[in-house]
Amino acid sequence: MGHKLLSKYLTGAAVLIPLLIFSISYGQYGNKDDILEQTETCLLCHDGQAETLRGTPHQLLSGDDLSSPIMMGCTGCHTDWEDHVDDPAAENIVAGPELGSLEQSQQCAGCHQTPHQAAMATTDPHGRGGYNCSSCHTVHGNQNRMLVKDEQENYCLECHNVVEAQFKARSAHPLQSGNIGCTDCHQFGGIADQLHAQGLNWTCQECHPLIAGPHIYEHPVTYEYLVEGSGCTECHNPHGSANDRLLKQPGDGTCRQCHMVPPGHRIAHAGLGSRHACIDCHSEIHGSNSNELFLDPDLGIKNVINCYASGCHSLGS
Amino acid sequence: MKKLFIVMIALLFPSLALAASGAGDFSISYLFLDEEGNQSVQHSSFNIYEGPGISIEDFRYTLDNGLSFNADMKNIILNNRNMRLGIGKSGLFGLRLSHNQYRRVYNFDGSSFTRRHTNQGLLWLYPHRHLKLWGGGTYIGRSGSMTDLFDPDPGAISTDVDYDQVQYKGGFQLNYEGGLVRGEFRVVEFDDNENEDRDQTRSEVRFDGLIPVPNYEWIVLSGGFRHFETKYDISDFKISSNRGWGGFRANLPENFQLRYNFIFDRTSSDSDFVATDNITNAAYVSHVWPQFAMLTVGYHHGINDDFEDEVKSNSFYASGWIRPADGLEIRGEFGLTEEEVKDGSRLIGDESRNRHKFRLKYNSGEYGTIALKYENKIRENDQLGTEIDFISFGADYSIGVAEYGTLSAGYVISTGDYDNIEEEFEFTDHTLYGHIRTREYRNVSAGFGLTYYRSKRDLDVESFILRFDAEYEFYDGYKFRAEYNVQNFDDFLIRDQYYTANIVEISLIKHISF
Repeated sequence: MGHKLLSKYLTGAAVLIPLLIFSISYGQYGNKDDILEQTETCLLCHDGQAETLRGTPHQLLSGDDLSSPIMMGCTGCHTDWEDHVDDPAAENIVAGPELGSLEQSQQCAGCHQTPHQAAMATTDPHGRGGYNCSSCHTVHGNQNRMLVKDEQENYCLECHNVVEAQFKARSAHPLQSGNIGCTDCHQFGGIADQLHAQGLNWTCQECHPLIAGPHIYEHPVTYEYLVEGSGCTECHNPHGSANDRLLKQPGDGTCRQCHMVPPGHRIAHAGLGSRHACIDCHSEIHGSNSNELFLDPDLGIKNVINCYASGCHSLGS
Repeated sequence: MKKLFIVMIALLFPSLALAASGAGDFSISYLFLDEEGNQSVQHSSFNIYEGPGISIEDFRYTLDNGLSFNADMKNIILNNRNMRLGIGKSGLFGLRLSHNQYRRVYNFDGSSFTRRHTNQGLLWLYPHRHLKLWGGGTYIGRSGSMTDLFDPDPGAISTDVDYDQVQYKGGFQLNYEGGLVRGEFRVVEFDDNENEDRDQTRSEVRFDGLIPVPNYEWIVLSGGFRHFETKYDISDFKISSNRGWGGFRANLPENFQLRYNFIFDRTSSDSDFVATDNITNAAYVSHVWPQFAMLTVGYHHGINDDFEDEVKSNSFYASGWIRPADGLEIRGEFGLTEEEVKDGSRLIGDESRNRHKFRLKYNSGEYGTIALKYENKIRENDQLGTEIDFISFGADYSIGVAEYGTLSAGYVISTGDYDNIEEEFEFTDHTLYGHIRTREYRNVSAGFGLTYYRSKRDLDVESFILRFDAEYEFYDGYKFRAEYNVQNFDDFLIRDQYYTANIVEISLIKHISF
């Protein structure tokens, strides 16, 4: 096991190290004279602005360091600047936060044409709801990852306060202890997916591979996640729940969202004398490789008296 | 990873001679824990351990040439580890490493639990300003024992769990004059050490593209393809999904925008009982009044066809926001989906889903910010005779006054009715939360926080978390912090479902800045 794991890490390192060396040795690119000249002109008046960008993805190009292949200058974002040089009025230059939603996203899209950017313009609810880049990101004076305004996870919860409530319920993913964050599941990068960058199939499978399937006999409600973006969340509330295991309904209520109790079960399994939870027998509820009714493979051993000695079932049925 | 890190430092060593600046918080702490009751019922207590801890939080070190290091490590001695390291240079490369470990408890005395480890590494670089490459891997390991689902009895049978999953991914992104091509490949190996029948390999390949139409740059075309496959190692049983999508975005005059997307997705398996098509067409029109309002309306048509049963859906969508006065913003969203079984049948029959959301937010500056939120979701399945009606209302308020400190508080009530032809469920959830933080006075500041949760339906559950903390700053950049937390859970219907914990943590923190 240890040797197997080590070999996997070494394989990963063998891929990463050449990439790193390649990036450092091949980083020089292009003639940047124009950008350097324009930036120096801007900094004659705005001399503190270079410092607000140092160490961030928008660090300005400087004559002392030409290693970056991305040429970052003031006029890359602050376009239409020509008149501003002669007349330094604010209206003579473009400033991102003052633009409307669409104009601002187009301005950022001059460089940032990631799936996140495209999703914001198409399927992402934030984009549809009128939020723009500066709703969540700031450029100057920000050292946070991805330039979000606040790196703490509660940044998302400022708007999604119902979700915050769910994370404080009895069972919840470990957001409070800092072991997961909003962006572990919501990565905002997919163009086609409505809510989840990777689709629910990848999102849940990332940490729960054991129950992810596929199985020979799929429970349709869990299988739909592959194609419909539903599945897991039909039974579980991923943020938190008053019920154990993040379930939307307590106990059999989960099953009864879609299933009524079969008549035979009402007599033998739902009475006061012998009450059984659905899951007592249908334990392979996420999918089974042995039984289309998702019955526990060890049912005959575990419940031999209840199931078989009663005369209701025979071995093999 | 350790070797890689050493190589990386060696490569970058010449840069370390440059001038630099940095900042961060270093702390040592000790946590006292007194708990009583069922350790499996309160999830937020699973990763609290008595003992010492060392943390380095928000550490950043930036050289004048832009090369920066960052680290975030919380309680790295305790069992609950949460570590993140990063190094990078703007526009050139970045490397991020992380390690995370936590546990999940399954029985009363805490003897049955699983522990999950996650290690991640991701490297990205720009060999050319138009090209970004990335590659990385993730390891997830989980081991321990867990009890069966829905079986809270102390004597319940435990099942051993021991699996690991390794994922590699690599990709590229090419940008040129407003166009984009992006590709990524992932492969995942899952090994179950308890049952090799579950061993499986998953792979995904995806390509996305986006290009403005030459001479008509106000029209941007987009499209992509994804292949996803899962295969059992022992049986060779395989399921695969192929998805193609495309669309355009047109920025029209007068701040109008038109968007259209289609998706075609086919999922099939080696066996003959799974093959499903999903076809979706969606169009949205938006109009923006800059700095004042935005309105979006859309239509979405979907087909789900597994060659025996066919379900068609029609959805309508509208959303908007308006800022009618300084500090006042109103947002609303409406969505309606009607799904109809056209051929064959499905277990839940036809379905109708309806959602409304509204939010009003007013920021007066001096008197704080108040927000009111309302959401209503309704789901109906006529043939099944079921209806779910969910309503949530939330209000929160926050204010910061320089002379006194900050206050934020909120309340959320959620109610739901679930009806079918046989029975009815009802539930009501209440959540109350608030935080108060005083301003610093004579180098001392204090805070108080409360979260109270009450849920009633087939069960009757109450839980709350209280937090008191105080900080004293002394000398230059040193802080002493004491925190007291109370966590409590009670299920008033099941006798062994209770838990109380008193948690005290004291920390000595040094803020460094250079």
